[in-house]
Amino acid sequence: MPAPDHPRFRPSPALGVVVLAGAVHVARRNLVDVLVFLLAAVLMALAPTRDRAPRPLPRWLERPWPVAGAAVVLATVVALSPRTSAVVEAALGVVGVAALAVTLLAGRGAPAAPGRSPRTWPWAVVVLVGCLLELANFLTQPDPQTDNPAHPTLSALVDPLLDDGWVRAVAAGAWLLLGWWVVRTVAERDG
Amino acid sequence: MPARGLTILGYAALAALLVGAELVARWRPDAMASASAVLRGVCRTRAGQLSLLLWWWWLGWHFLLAS
Repeated sequence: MPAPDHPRFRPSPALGVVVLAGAVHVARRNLVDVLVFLLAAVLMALAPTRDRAPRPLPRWLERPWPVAGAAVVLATVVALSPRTSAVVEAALGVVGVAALAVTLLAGRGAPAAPGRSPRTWPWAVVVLVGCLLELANFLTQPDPQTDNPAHPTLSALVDPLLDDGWVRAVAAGAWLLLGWWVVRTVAERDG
Repeated sequence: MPARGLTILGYAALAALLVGAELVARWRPDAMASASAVLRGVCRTRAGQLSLLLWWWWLGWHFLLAS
C-alpha cells in the first residue's frame, strides 16, 4: 500500500501549550488574544494534513535591507501613534499576517538540523521557570485586569517604560528584527 | 527585601541566565546549544514552527499595545 501524501494528525505538546495559554486569555477576557491562539491551534492541527510541497525561502527575506526598512517604518508608526490606536493594531496585524503567510507558503518540512546538539535543557528550564513565575504572579492578581503591585507580571513592570514613544520605537524595531530571525529559521527548508 | 523586589530580582536573574547560556554556547559550543540551535530544534515540527511564530507575534501585540 503506498504511503499517504500527508501524515496523519498527531497532537503535539506545543498544541497543548497553545490551548492552555488560550484558556488563560479567556480568563483575561482578551478577545483578540483568544482568537489568535484559537487560529494558531487550528493551524497546528491542520497543517500536517494540509501542507503544501516545500518551497525555498523568498529572496527578499534573505536580504537585511527590506526588513531594516520595515523596522524603521514600524518604529516610526509606533512612536508617533498612541498605544491604543488602530494604526498600531493594523501595523502589527499586517506584520503578523505577512509572517504567517511566509511560514505557511514554506510548505512541509523543517530547517536543516543543527547537527550534533549539545545540552538544550538549560534553555527549557529557564523558559519554563519564567513562564511559571509569570503565571504565579498573574494568579495573585485580585482580578485578571488589575495588577498586584507586590507580585507584578512582566507587562506590569515594562508598561510604564513603554509609555515613552522612543522606547516603544526601539522595542518595535527590535521585535521586528527578532521576527525576521524567527521567520527565516521557521521558513527555511532542508534540501 | 519586599515581595516586589524579589519578583523583579527573579525576572532579572532569568534574563541573565538566558544571556549567560548564549555566552557559554559561544565560548563552549560542545557544552551548550546556542539559541539558534534551540530554535532549529523547536522548528523540527510544523506545530513547533507555528507555535514559535505565535509567541513572537503575541509578544509584540501584548507589549506594544496598551492593555
